[in-house]
Amino acid sequence: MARRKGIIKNRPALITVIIVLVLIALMIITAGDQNMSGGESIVGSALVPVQGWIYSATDTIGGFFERVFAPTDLRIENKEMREQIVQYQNDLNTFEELKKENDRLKILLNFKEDHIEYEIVTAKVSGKNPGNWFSVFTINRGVLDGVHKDMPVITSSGLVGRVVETGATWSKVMSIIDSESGVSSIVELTRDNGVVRGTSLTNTSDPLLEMLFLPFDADLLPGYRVITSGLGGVFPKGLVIGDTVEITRGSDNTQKTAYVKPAVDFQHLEEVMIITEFKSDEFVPVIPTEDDINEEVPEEIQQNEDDEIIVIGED
Amino acid sequence: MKLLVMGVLIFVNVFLSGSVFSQIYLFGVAPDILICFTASIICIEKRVNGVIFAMVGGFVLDIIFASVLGFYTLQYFLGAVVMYYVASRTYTDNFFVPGIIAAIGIVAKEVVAMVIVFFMDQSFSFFFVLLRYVLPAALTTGALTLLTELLMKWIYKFKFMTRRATTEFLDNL
Repeated sequence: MARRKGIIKNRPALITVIIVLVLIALMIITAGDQNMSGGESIVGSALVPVQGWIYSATDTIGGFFERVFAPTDLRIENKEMREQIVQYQNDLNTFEELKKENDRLKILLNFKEDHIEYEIVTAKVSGKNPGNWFSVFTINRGVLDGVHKDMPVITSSGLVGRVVETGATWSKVMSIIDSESGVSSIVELTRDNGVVRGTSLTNTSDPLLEMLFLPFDADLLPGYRVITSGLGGVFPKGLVIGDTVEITRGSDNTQKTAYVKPAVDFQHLEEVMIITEFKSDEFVPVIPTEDDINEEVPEEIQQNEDDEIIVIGED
Repeated sequence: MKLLVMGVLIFVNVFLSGSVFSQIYLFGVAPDILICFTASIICIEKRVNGVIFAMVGGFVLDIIFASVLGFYTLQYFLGAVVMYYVASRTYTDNFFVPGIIAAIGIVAKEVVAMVIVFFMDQSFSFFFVLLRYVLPAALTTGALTLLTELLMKWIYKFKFMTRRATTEFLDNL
């Protein structure tokens, strides 16, 4: 009782506890609802373009300083010449950035031409979440560009992730290396099915994925390619996820787990493609309706109306 | 005017967190710029303004990046509360103290993140994460805070950043 009184009297502690409870409630409320509110969409629409500009400028600025501070024989040159060189180097850096961007866009264009079965929207990565726990990034395409929740996001190298929230002009993408992500997948060579999930934190600079629920008798080796299986309908079949690097047995000796190195370089993501439409290869059983059964009576049966007809599902 | 400066600083911090500092990861470790500025503000002001600064910054990060609202806000809020608690009981005029407070803030913030992630049913090793990610991040953040502290001290030299007109009045006496 005395402690309770103490907390109530201690105003800062009380305010802190109230704020923590409100934030926990907010997290619980928004955990299930992945739709972006109007306010979020507007704030994001205002902030994401600026964020995108800074994100893309980071490389340019870094390159500029690398050049400025590079050891060159500037001692013999006068001040004007130095300024001029810095200017030229800045221009050259911009040119190189544009050239790199052009090359990347060419690759994306080739991919688009090679995969006419996909309707694709290209987008630029405008920011990435800070911290190591999750891997969510923002792109500069939203509902107005035809981007909707759960659409697959790829690069020419392979699968990147899926759209989890969309604003008017921007979206949040959860990458496959996020520990909350799960992709139904298949080993290309052995056709063993599993689920690829991101690992929270690994002891490597490159992120790794784990392929779970593999059959115990799966004959896997490092270097086997893992692709999407198309099950679930979110991702089309055949998108490259990565290559196996290590295979381990489960503790209960009933399943195997494979560690997969993603095909996509998540540290240097700049442009991505969103598949807005694809033809699903998933087997969809056609269930005949009552009308179909009545209309499509084979001629042989019609001729022998007196014969016994057995219809599955009826007594 | 002070409110405007703080607002601009929050947005600059959020933009830098989502661009520069999410791209310069070295072995999975990067300094947390928002904690650096929060620690500097708390050490200079010794008031709750730093806590509010961190909380608003965390909320903007939530809007842009998080799939669950409150994930960053809670981390930064509690991290800032711990920093404020330590700063209010420490002699912060020493040049290195804000860096140490920022490092403590990072540890507190990441522990909060671990608790949240634990309740999200994610498996991880506490000591591995602490040694591999949190402590190196605390060191880099502490080092960067020494620079942000200089910047904030310079900003706080402007009259509009002084707390109340009475302070100026007393100074003039």
